[in-house]
Amino acid sequence: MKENQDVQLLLQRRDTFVLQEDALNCQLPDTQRRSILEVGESLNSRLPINSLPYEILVKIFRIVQTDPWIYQGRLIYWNWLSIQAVCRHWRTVLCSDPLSWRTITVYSRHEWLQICLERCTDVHADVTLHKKSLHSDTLSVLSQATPVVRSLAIVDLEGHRRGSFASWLTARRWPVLEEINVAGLSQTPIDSLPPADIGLTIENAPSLRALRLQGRAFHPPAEGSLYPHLRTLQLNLCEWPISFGRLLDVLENMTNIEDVRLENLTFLHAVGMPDVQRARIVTLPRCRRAACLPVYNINTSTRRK
Amino acid sequence: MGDSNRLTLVASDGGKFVVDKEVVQMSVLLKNMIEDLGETDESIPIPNVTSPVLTKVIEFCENHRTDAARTDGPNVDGDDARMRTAVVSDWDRQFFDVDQDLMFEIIVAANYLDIKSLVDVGCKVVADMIKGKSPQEIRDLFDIVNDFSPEEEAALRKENEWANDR
Repeated sequence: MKENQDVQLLLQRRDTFVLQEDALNCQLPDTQRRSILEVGESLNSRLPINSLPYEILVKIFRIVQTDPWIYQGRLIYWNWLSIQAVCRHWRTVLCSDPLSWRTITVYSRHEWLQICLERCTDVHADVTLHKKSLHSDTLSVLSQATPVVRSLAIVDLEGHRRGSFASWLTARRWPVLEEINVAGLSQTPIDSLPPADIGLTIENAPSLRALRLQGRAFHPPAEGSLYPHLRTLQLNLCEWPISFGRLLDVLENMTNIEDVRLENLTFLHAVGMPDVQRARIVTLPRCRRAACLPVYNINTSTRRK
Repeated sequence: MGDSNRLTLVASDGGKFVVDKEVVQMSVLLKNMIEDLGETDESIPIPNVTSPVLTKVIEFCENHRTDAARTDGPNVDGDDARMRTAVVSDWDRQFFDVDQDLMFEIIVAANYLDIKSLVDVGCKVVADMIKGKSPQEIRDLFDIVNDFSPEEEAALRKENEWANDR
């Protein structure tokens, strides 16, 4: 009981001191406050860690950002942004290193996308947008940056947004986009809207090499110019409204494909297996990995027809 | 005529170190110097590195001499890929279990001498010290003063909120 009262008294005294400190800080003239900060900055510049050359400090920060943090055998999530809140020098170093900002994950606030894109000037960006961020503000910011987006991932796209997202995506040119991953939320029969065409072509995405779609939101492009250039095609739980014969045509066109995975697909116009007359051998000369589940098997043999 | 497989390094404070050429050649800077000089008995001055630091650098190179071929090879995947695969062994951690002044001087010297494996390991060790800590804990660790103005702190808070608002 007595101990509790002592703790309460100490906490009250501490609160009083904090209030007094704030009041004193407010009374300090601006010039004096600035001087105190300048002294702090000057002290920091003399520290051993801040004697490291710029490129070494950047290297350390990149390891902090990219290496998983494993503590006592467990992988632990830790927000690397802490390092920019240590001191002005660290923040300056971090903000001036474009590579530190190229991997951008936006959960909901478009302001974050804006900041990261501004800081990763001259390097290509890898952008991941979560469902709550998929509003007009975010898309408007990203529209300004299409020439630098190297990869684009959409997580949990809601079914009713598929049409507007597809129109937005295909209305723009993505000159350096190498990879697109879209994972839709709409995997249940409750969502009665048909899947939309992802709509990308060699014209609007000339560098695209990897296309990954998951869920019923989108199907691969009906227009076929992209297929000869793709190295990776991964479809999971998608509806692809093409016939089996057309699927074979598409596969035949994928002369550069290295990794093709068609898993849990629904081909709307496919009825049963093709008869022997229409079946043919499709050769994927560069394919190293192929999976087609659960219906069809793909022969990955490299022999010529 | 001295041993042609060994040469003498002279630290900034005059300390002399006789070292195997194979060990010295882990430093790209010294390797190039040796190639330029050819066969010579002359000692090589290292003006930016003191004796205690050079002692540690040589200790590291001697311990890692068998890795030399690997680190000197063509760096096809670039710096970042090399950093990701750099392994910090127990010996390396022990090696860097020194006071912070010396630790950072070793990294600066390794950078100057262009000894990539030592730079990589040093950076990884420092990164591991930082990971998982709050800004205040990092400040305490390296004696850093919080020199942000209240306005800058508010901007940082806002950025953090934007980044993590789910």
